[in-house]
Amino acid sequence: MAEPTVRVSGTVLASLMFQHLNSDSDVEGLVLGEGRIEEQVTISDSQADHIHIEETYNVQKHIACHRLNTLYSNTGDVNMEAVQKMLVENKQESVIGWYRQRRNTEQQMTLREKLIHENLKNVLSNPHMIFLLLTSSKVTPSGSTHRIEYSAFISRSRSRFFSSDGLLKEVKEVNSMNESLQVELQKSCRDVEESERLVEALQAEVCSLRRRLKEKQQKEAAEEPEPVHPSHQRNVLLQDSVSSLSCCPLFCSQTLNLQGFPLPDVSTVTQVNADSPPADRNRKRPREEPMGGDRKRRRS
Amino acid sequence: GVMAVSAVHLESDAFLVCMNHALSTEKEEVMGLCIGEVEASRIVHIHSVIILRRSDKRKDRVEISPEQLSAASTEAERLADMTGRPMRVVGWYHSHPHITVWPSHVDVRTQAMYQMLDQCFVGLIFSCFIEDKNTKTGRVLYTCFQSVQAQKGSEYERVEIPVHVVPREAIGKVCLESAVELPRILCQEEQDTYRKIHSLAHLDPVTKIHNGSVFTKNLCSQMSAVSGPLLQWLEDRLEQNKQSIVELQQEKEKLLLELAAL
Repeated sequence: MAEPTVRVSGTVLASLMFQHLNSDSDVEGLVLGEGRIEEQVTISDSQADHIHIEETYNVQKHIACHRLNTLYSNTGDVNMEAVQKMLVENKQESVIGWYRQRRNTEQQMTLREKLIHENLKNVLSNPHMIFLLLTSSKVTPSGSTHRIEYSAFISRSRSRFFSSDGLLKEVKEVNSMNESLQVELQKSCRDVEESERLVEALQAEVCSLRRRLKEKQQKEAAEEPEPVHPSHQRNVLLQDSVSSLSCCPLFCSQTLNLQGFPLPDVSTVTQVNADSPPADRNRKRPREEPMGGDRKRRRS
Repeated sequence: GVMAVSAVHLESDAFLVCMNHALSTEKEEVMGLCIGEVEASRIVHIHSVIILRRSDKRKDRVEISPEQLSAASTEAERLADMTGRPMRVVGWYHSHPHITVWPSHVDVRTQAMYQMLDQCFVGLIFSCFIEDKNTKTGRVLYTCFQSVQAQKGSEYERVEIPVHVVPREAIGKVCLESAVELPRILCQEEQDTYRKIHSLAHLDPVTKIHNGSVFTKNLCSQMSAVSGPLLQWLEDRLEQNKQSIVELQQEKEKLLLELAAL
């Protein structure tokens, strides 16, 4: 079986880099294009037929997520609605994978990315999805030299090769084809320029409006009396992620004894009264030996 | 000693044009000029770049002719009029396809020569098409440098200049125009080459057909490798912007309502 190949044009690669440079944080999104799997059979008299499978992925464009963590939940489940929203008029079949760009990190898939990749494959019913990873870092401490690495990963979790990939009548024809292409380019350039200016102006307006609103809201908040309701705060998102690792419920507990060992949460043992303080941290309990055996008995 | 330049700030849309240019060919080094201004803090701010055609395509001969420099200055003046800021040619960039990012001896000497005319002149190098066969990872590097002579008469040496890419989400007019200039220049080069050969009267029909085929092949290759993807990218960008405009309009209206309510 041959090594799969991922092809990206210089334009798309430059566009990806441009996008990350304009962002303070990581950037992620979908990769669109076409994937082709071709079987080549070599028939020969001297040896058995050799089947050579060529897998090629052509990346044609990328769609960025406006905000991180919209494509998937904190447990790595893919949000199909968000994917559809991002695709707009693009066909779901043209999604051949997704990408992420981060700084000062290893050029390897993280556990979470692997999880999301598997989920994306299932949700889009496409067993041949690619994951493009771009990482940037400084080469010199002065910041005079920077490096951007890029590679593609596919389902089998091995990194893949990345490559970029008389007739005077014909002369006339190709020249005229080129001429129309040039004209199209100029026109497209003008259209894009107009739209860039519109977006720029709107962004500035929206930014200033957001600022004004925030200032007004802050002013109003300062004038209002403080509402009094101390709440027992729970980090629901963290609880979700931790419980998805499906281990000992004590791991999810927010209650610690004086020695710092976890105890079953008040809420898991008794009815919770939202206004009551969290477990009796300050009250000394007699038999408080942190022995695993003890706790097991108490749980059942 | 203290260099005349403390750092370089490169606008991200100018970076985009340089990167597109550098990635457009792996067979030869490409080059261009940087337009911008030098700020009081000794920071060179590059606002856009001009793509140049190389007259001497020999390896490592990345030199800019006086005519090109003059044409670039005219372009800088045009930019100055358009933006209302004092713009001039502040540096040059070139690519190192399949080669390490560090400037060669020739590069360092060329840079030193430009510094004699303008001590704030800076050099940028983009290294691309570097692949690590073991990890199957591709790499792009960019560096900024000037040249210094340890003592009079000794060899010139490279001096590192910190470079930061300044975010600029909306792409400027000049950068967009420079970006579409690239396919035009590439195609023009092919056409010039073909015209020179085609004008030779004594060629037999078969040779003429061969030359025509080579031209067709090269031009098609340019169109599919550069012009085509660029047009695709422009169309996608336009779609994206139209989408952004709709969303921003909605948010603007919502914010105006919220402000009116307070």
